[in-house]
Amino acid sequence: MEEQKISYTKRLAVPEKHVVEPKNEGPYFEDVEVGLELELKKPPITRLQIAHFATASGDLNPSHVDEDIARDIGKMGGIFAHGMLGMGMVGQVLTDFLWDRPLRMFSTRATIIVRPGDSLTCFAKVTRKWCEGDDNLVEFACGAKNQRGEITHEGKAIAVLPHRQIAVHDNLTQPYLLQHRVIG
Amino acid sequence: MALKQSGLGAETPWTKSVVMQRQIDMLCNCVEDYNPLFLDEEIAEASANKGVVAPPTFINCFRDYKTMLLISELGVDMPMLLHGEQVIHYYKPVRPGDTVWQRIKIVEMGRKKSKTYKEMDYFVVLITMKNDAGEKLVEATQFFFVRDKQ
Repeated sequence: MEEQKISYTKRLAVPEKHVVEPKNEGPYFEDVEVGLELELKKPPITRLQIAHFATASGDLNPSHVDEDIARDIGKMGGIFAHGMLGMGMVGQVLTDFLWDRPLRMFSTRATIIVRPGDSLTCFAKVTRKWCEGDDNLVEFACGAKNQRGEITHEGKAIAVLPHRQIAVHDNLTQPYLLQHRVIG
Repeated sequence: MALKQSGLGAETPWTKSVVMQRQIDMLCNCVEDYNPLFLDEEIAEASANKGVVAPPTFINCFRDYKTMLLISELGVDMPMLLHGEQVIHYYKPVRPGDTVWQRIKIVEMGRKKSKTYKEMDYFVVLITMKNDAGEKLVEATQFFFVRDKQ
């Protein structure tokens, strides 16, 4: 039997506002400046979303899915989201920007718990650029804060970005060098 | 320390599975991250990725025997568990259809001071994912705290 191809937006019933427009390519190393800031506001986290994450990850720790155990045994005042759900959202602010440029490393530390109803704003800032072997590396300080401005996740990521092929640019500042084939 | 110290060095067996697009769909759905590079063959094929790749936190969806490891080898009381830090290193992309091997090992444990809970047990697990050729794809270190029972 032949598999019917259905677009991912239909397959996952993606709400229109969440559809991501494809890009031709990700950013180049020379275009990313230290200090560049990225931000992504996520809608409030729901109990159903936490349950879905428990299913997707296989992490059915009662702290995330059983209100009674989370409150009475865990003494956490009720269920809370997996730290990795927030990390997934922080990852999104990075991959939305990087597109097809790969991550080499990504870390987050969960600093306070995230409860149903909390909405996270994920952020990333370029803190360093350097070359290592063949790779051009860009470091981000990244994380998330809740609707009260409290940091819920903080971490770091390193991505590998290509540099465009070298060329003689129109804005050459010393055109006489070209005439004398100094750069040839 | 409430954790069983004999748990240090314990590890799950290497488990083999085939990455399914459906697993990636589920993760993207609950994170509400609909990046087509994770979901759409045609768009992903046209990118530098040359095909669909899994999102950066996909390794969290592989946890065969993890609960058994924590409950039986460390004696973790699951409702007292808190997740601290996770560090993920990427070596090669993980794609739907890939056969992957994964193992989880307890690599460190002890007791730490905490601002909120005074003192807590902690342990660190190392999750390694390899391909069929034995090449490392992803490696994650996860740091967990276990609160004392009041």
